[in-house]
Amino acid sequence: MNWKLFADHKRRILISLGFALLIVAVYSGAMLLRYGVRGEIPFYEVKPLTENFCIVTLVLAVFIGAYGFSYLHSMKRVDFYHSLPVTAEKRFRSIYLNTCSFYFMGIIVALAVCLMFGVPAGNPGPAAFARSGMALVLTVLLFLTILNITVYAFTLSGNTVIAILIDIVLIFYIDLWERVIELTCDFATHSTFFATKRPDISVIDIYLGAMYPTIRSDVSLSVSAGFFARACIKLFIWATITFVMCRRKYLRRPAEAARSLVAFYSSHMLIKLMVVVPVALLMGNSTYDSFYEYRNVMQIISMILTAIVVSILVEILFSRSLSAAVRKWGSIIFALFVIFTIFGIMRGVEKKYNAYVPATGELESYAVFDPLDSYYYGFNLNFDEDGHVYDYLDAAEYVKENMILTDTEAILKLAGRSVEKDYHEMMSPLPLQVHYRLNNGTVRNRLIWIDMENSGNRKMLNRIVGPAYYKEGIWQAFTENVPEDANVTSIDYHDLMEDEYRHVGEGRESANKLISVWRDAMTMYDYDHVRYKEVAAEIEVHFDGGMYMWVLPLYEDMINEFGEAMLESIE
Amino acid sequence: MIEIVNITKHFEDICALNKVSASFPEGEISVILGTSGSGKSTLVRIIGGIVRPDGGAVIVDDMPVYDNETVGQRIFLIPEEPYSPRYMSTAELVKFYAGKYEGYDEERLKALCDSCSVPMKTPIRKLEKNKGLLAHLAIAVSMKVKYLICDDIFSSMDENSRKLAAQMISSAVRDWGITAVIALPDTDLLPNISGKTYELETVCRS
Repeated sequence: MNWKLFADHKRRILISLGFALLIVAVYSGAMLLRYGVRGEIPFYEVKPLTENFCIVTLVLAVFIGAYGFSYLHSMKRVDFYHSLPVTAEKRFRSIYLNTCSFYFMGIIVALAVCLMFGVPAGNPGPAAFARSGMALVLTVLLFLTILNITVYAFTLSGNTVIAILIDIVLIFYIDLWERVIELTCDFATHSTFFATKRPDISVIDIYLGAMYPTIRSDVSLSVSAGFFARACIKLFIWATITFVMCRRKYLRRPAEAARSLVAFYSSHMLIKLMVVVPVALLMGNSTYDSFYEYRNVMQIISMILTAIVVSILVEILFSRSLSAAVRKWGSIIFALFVIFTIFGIMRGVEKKYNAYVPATGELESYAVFDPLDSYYYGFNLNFDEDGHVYDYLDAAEYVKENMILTDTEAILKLAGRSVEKDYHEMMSPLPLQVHYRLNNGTVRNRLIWIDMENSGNRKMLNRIVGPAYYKEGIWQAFTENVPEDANVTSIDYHDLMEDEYRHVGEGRESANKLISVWRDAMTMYDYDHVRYKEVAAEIEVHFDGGMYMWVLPLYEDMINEFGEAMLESIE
Repeated sequence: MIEIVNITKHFEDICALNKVSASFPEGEISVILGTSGSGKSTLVRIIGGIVRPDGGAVIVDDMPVYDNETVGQRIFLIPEEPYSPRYMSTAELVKFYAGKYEGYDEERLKALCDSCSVPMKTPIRKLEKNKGLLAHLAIAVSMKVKYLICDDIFSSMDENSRKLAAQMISSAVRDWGITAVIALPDTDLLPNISGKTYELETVCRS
């Protein structure tokens, strides 16, 4: 290994120290320094912190990758380095490791600073060290993946500006396609029960999805370790795949590519398709949502125009000539063929997927969820023996566990009608998530649309949501009282019409009395009178200093009928 | 010996080299002659192992040149516009190279720099252009290599510098047994150089 392949070590050391300072400034907040001083990271601080990690890591990886491999865009520097008596494989290894050394030197210095200042300030404890270690591993894997993508982008192009553009497209490419699928096929998000089943595929989603629970002190260490392990495997796979790709591309890269915008002539068409296809599909979706009449026609026209314009723009970037770009109409036609093939497949799959309705004898039970209801119910809490909240259940999981509806005739009628009519043609469409439990033990999740102008539909809905077992499946407070020893620190009334907050009480006894009256009020809950209107107010029951709460919705008719009784209950 | 056999190279739709063949005997100076755009620099890069040809082969001492460390140790290439890292002086650059090759002759380098009035401790980029090119040439000639491949650095030199350059190359071949292959647009540029001449347009095509 020739560590001295790159000259100018003084500059390298200075840049490494600069990175170290940046890493200390950003990472130190959530790593040992903060743990040492604060002892924990509250959950409400986690999100901006982890996004800072993500952004800084992304920027560092792109900058470092560009610094190491931008020499490929200068013929003079290519002649200099490639004329040395070193094989391409060794050269790649040397440059890659030299490039990584910037980051790792920075991390080591940052860790040393954190330990020096953070540990004497407080006692972080072994859990804090474990969380910091896990966070570090995830961040390093993210860095390596983004670095590899950057190296790949820089080997694809002979121009630094184009390489950075390609890099940005590649880094966010999966996110871009997830958005395309989301918009083109409704099933991707709407027909998955609260979209909880959609796996994290993009590196950024994997990273952020694991970092939040990893560094939060209110999540148990074993749960954090589970998130960490799963994300670690996925990120490691990504880092490996991208490394293999960038190494292979580097070894095959012709030296003379330093002159051209695209290093591999064969990549020309691929890069164009990679940009044109998703952009055209996105524009088509945007047009579809913007028009009411002739939306299908407008969508197609929009996709065609976008494909032509973006193809020409990309070609101008490659060939630096408008006339040459316009002449390449063959590639535009091919791009249109790819766009409409993908569009056709997505729409066909979506139609078939959304048209699924279980057969009459197939359905055992189901759970439903009106997405608007989820806004108003806070957390589903697990209390320990001392009445403290130690965990909470995700809204979707709570409904799936607790709601068992057996009026199969009602839901199958509604689902059947949903398939017959496009929701865009409904005057008042209501989306309803349905979790079907079939007799054979399988489950299916779909979104159905209900035309609320149809009184027959509202009757069916009332059959479903009217009975107590629907409400028991959504609101924890419908079945459970505030437990013994639970610390109700505040009961607040939030008037949504006036946007006013009022503290109305505290303590377990007051809360249970109020909840009892609320349950009576909820017998009025149906789609004809109550649910059709907006929520007028919320009762918030706060636990443990306000970290967790139950939210109980109140509609105008309920307030009119039961308002006095509620006031009396908390006096 | 360096042998090039049926070298072909295309850049997109342009044919830069079409079945070019030649052999460059050891211990001599060989000159590749060609006008601007004839493919001299491309051929020099192919011989130096930087660019891979689309067809044909370059054989050095019975070994292929491309991506070959053993052959690479025997060849030193000076491109048309030599590059030196910022802040690197002649003394530092030669040490950088020495780590990759089998070393260099310190006395030889000092003598060459003195004869050309090239300061060894000044960053090469800060030197005047002729001096910078001579510095690169002095480094190349001091390396313990068997073959010196030199693209046309002479067109951008003044007459005096070209004479010094020609002296350096001739003495390297005569006194130290280096084989030199240099690319020129015109032999009048280096009238003091004597060696076999290969005109690129008319070099053997099989």
